[in-house]
Amino acid sequence: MYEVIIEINFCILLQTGDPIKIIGIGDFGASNSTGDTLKTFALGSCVAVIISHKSTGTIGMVHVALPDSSISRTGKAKTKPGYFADTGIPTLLKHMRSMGCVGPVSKSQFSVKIAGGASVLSCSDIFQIGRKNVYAIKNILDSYGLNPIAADIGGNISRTVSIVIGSEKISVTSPAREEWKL
Amino acid sequence: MEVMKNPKETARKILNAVKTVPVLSSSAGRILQIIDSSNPSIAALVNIIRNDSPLTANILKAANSAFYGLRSEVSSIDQAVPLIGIDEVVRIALRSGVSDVFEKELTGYKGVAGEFWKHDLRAAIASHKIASYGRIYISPEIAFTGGLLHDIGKAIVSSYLGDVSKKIVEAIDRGVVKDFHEAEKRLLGVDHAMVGFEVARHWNLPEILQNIIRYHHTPSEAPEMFKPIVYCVHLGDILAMMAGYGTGSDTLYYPLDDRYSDFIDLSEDELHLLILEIDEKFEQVNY
Repeated sequence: MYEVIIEINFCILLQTGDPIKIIGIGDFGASNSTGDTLKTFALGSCVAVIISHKSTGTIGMVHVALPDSSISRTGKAKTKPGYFADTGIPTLLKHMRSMGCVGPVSKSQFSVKIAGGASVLSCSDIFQIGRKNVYAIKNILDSYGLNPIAADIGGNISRTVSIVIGSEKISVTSPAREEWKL
Repeated sequence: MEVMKNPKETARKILNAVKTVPVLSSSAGRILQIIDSSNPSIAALVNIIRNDSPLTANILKAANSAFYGLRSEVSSIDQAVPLIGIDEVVRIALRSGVSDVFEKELTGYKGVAGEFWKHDLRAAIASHKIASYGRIYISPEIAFTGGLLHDIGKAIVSSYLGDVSKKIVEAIDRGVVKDFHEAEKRLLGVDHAMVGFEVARHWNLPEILQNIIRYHHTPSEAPEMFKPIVYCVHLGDILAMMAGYGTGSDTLYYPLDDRYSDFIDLSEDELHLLILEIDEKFEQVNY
């Protein structure tokens, strides 16, 4: 079974069959089909949250751009809930539950990794959006009793992140750097 | 960090290469001159466009795209230009007028095809929106145009970086050099902002655009009269990179000059809203 949701201009498209699923800014997706890949490109201050469900082997990913949906005046939290930390993580978990990841959300069944949250070279607090995204994500996860078991966050680098369903390690790449695993 | 054997000689070669950059199309050049006027006129733009058949065709194509959702076909340039607006005219004129430059794969920066244009477009949209937060008036159309052109020097510098991107990144990580801008100067004797400035002069661009390009990484050094708009595009460039739209290995390796707040009045909530609006606009125009 494979399902990924990509929202484009207020439409939700369900795509199946493509083994590599691209998660754009504010998108989310999940799969339990071994060999499928979830991939998101060029995380700057954005953060990829990757959630694994142990007993079903389902893995989900959401590409969070901003910490808090309350700033949106256009209903973005409804049309693209993955865009914000406070709506993206609950939406991904709900989606994974609809795919059979049942039972209480707990560390014994769900594990989380995060990557991204880079910063620009600056002293300006308001531009530290990467750090604030990470902080908001950890708070939301904590409200579910979860915390990241691995994190590759911060610094001044743009990260592309992918995971193959069935594997445990996340691949992280960045221009002019060797690939590393998380 | 390994420094090129003779940065002065490299700089001379790079600056000579500026003369080989394809000239800006006559229409694009005249459109940019009009944008620089105090009150850019749609009628003046129409007069230029109607004498350039390929540009007319591209603008009519844009006006009839699904994005505008019109029931009847737009067949006249007089209707099309007010419909799509000045920013869109500039975007189409520059993309079709110097496509060889914008479509270039920035191999020296480890960039991939199409990344350069997307970064510039993202920075242009961001700069246009930031202009409305200026403490004094900043022309959103010039900010947009400056955003599109600010990194034009990379099209030349890329070829001279060769395969040293990885060493630059390592040197910045180790603190040997503070950012990519400084690394270019030390390695090549000249940086992409200065090379872009020379391209802008080669194209005879308005002085304000020349200054945006030259100082987009060092806005505090810009002449006083240009500082507000230079800081505006400086922020637009940074926001594009933060969103993941960079040009390769140098992404996020440039400092944000915090003195922007002398010219741009932006709260944290406004910044977050701005990021959201830039994303929405980019999705609309990136076709």
